[in-house]
Amino acid sequence: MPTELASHLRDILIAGRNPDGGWGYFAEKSSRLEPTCWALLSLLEDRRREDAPVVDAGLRLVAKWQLADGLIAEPQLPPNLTFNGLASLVLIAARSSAFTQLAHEEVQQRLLGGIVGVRSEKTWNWNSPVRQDNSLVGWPWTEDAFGWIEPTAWCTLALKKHGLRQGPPGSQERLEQAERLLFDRQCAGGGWNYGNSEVLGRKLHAYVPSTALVLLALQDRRSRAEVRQSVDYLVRAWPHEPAGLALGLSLQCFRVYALPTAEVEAALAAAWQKSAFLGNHAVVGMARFALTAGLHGPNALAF
Amino acid sequence: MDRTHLPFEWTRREILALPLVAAVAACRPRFDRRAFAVPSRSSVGLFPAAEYRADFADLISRGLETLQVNVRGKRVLLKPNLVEYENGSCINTNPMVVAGAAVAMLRAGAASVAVGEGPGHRRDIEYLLVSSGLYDQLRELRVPFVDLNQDDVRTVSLRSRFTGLESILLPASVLSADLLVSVAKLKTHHWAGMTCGMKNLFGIVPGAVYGWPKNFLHVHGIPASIVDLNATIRPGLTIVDAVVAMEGDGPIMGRPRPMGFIAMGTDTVAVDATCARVIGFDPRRLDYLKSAADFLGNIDAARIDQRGEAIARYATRFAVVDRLRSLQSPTP
Repeated sequence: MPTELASHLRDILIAGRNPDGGWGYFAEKSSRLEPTCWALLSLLEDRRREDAPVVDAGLRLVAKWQLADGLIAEPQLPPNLTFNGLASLVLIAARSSAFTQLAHEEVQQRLLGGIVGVRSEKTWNWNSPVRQDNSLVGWPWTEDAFGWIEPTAWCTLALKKHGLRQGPPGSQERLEQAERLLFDRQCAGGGWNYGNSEVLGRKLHAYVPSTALVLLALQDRRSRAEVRQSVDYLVRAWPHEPAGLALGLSLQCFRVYALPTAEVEAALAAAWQKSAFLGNHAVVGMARFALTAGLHGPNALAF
Repeated sequence: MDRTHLPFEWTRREILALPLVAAVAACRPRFDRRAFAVPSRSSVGLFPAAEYRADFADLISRGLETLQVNVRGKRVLLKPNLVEYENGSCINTNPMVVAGAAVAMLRAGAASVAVGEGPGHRRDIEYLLVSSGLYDQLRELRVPFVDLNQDDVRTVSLRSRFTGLESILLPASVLSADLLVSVAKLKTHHWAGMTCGMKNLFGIVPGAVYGWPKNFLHVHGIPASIVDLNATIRPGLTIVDAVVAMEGDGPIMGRPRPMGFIAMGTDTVAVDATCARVIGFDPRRLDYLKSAADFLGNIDAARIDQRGEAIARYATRFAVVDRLRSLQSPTP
């Protein structure tokens, strides 16, 4: 079933591609960075020769979207740091696969420079008792906003995958701060939600997708008690969010942590049967990548 | 400069509105009074619905008739409040109310009806739709759903400047609708005081542009953002699910409070002011309503014609977190 589903999802991605080489979130919508990246990551994973022109066109579009400071944004949109972290992983995967002729080494280097250059200096200033250390600097979704879990986790994952030695100046300090922020925001009982773990004295609960994502970013810290506790949370909680995004990220996380994947794969197939992931290309690409990651070579999200 | 591919000479920092932009805007009036007309009177209906097994299509149809709302030939976008799913909770606009509104619009001759939402907490809209039951409801009715977080977007000039922003990116589906209906949930809100018809518009701000939660709006002030959004995108109708509302630490962690009614009105400000009175808030103490009353709608009870049931039938005093006590009307 996973093989059949992966094949079907590939067909959907190939059919849903826009003439500019990218993918919109939905059919007949403008190309956007996130669905384009998940589609590319998925197709790069396969290394199917007939997909090479498709991948090349997508990579060209991503490179075309690069701004002068290295960040990537669709025309007229502000750069989104979550999707910039993801884009960096795509470029790393493209460079290392030898599948595409487009190395994009310079694009990748400039992108990481742009990522390191964005700091979440704003803090929650509602004079409210929020239990967290607001001095820690992570990454915001967009410049000029607060630092939150998802952009911080994706940018952390990108910098770690790239390798600190080759990273732009300041990478080390940013990574240390980002990791501290992630551990600081962990929910009681393990896992992470989108940002705060407690507001107005009430403990907030974790979410499956953000927990899976942070665990991917902290895969080199798996001996830490907080990470082990959060893995336990994810193993308990994933069946309660039976949808493409949560299951796709959980499956990716399970692969990296060498946990059994069969049940998550089956749940992903069931979710597809139920809702076809609402036709969302980002989720289709993510799910397909999750089903095939690491099967044909190194896992693009593992380091 | 960061202008590699941005047309119109806009930088992305301008899009995100640097403090300089805000400072310039702060020197200008927050709105052009000539561009807005507060109705001399507004009608708000409170219609009984004791439980979610009620016939909401019929109830909302009667509300449309009572309030003389004409939807014939219009492309209608229903915007529910879908935030988070917890089994047995009252966080979201109930799917039965959304479905009832869709059927009522179609019966009243709407050219098309779609439901659109962009949740601010959960990225996983598929999870929210399926687990809340809204997915099955809409599929049965063949009413399409639009993910407003990930729709195509267009830049829109804001029609007021309480945030100091000049413009914002909004979903094309919202901008192309003839009639936007805010299908809200009545809840306390630990930052804004209350979430109802007006605050519900936070869900039209695209998360794929501004992130989850939409802290771009928090940075610029929640009350100010509520006002600017409602000044720019005017819901033509507001329907509030107050069958079971939420009190205490809303909008997510509060307690269910059965109220047994649906509120409706074409003046969103008046609907919110009425709901505020019902739950024991003084509308003038809610920052966003106070600002909106200057140019968007009526909050003065003397200017609001009550249809259906009287406020007194439902009036109560919601439990609130400490920081919201100052919003409450003096105890009678």
